[in-house]
Amino acid sequence: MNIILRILKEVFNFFCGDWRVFWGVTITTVLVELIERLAILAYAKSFAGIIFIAGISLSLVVALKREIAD
Amino acid sequence: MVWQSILPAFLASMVEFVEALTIVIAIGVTINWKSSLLGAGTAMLALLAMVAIFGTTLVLFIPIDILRIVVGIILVFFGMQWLKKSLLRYSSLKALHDEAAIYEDKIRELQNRGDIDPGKFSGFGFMASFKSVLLEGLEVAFIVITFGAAAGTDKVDGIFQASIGALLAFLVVVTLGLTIRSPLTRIPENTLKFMVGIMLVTFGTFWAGEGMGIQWLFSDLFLLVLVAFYLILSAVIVWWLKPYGIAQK
Repeated sequence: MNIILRILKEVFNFFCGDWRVFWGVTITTVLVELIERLAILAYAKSFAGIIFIAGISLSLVVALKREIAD
Repeated sequence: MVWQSILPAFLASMVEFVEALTIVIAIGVTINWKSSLLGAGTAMLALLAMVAIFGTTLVLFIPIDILRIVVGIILVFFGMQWLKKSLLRYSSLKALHDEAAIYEDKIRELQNRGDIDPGKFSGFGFMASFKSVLLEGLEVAFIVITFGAAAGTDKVDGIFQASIGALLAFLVVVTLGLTIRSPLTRIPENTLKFMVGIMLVTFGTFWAGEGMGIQWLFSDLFLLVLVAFYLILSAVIVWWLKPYGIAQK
């Protein structure tokens, strides 16, 4: 179990390395997917690009903010 | 577009190969060149095999639309790491990568082992060199595969072009390394890292967005808008972080 966890941690560190970036980008991606797929959110389609870019940028800022807090 | 696959692979490879070269030279000077170069060569072959195997898998089994979403998101994650590190370095919150200091440390560490016979092949030297080239090269292999596979419509051609970018960087770094026979301290590593970070996040945003159905304004030209946006954002972040860096000093 320990080895599996270690491998997963190494893989995570290789690809991302920061949980704040991970959750920020993941939540943004899910939100944009919902906007693109759900008819009820279709009105937001014209802003999907802006939301996506803003979400990614915000993830970076939050990750850096935490760095200075530590 | 050819530059979409060659340039990021070239710049990323420059950074990683400079870091690997420092260790390879340190091992060559302290233990012997035979073990050091054999280790580095074997690691390069392993990386080539990795690119061929994973590249072929992507090319054969994953459609370009799905590939662009997955690759795009991973590139954003990956690029953020590079960008975050270089922004912290620009703001003096993290020390700049000092190849000369790393080289000296490695030499001292190797000399402290004591059991060095310069005439003999050293298993330790081989493994140390192999490990450093493999670890530094993994990121390059990943960038070559992802950029190559997602950059154009022809995935095989893309991976081939990205490999050329990495190979060119390898030749430049090795030639410089052989010429001066010491760590390449004058290569602006942080600037290169920053540029690669901007490229990874830019292409990642663009491809992932496109894969999810976002219609970018001006089509491919929107990449330039994204580059400009992330550059401005980085400048603002450095301006915001700089006082914390000075206070920390």
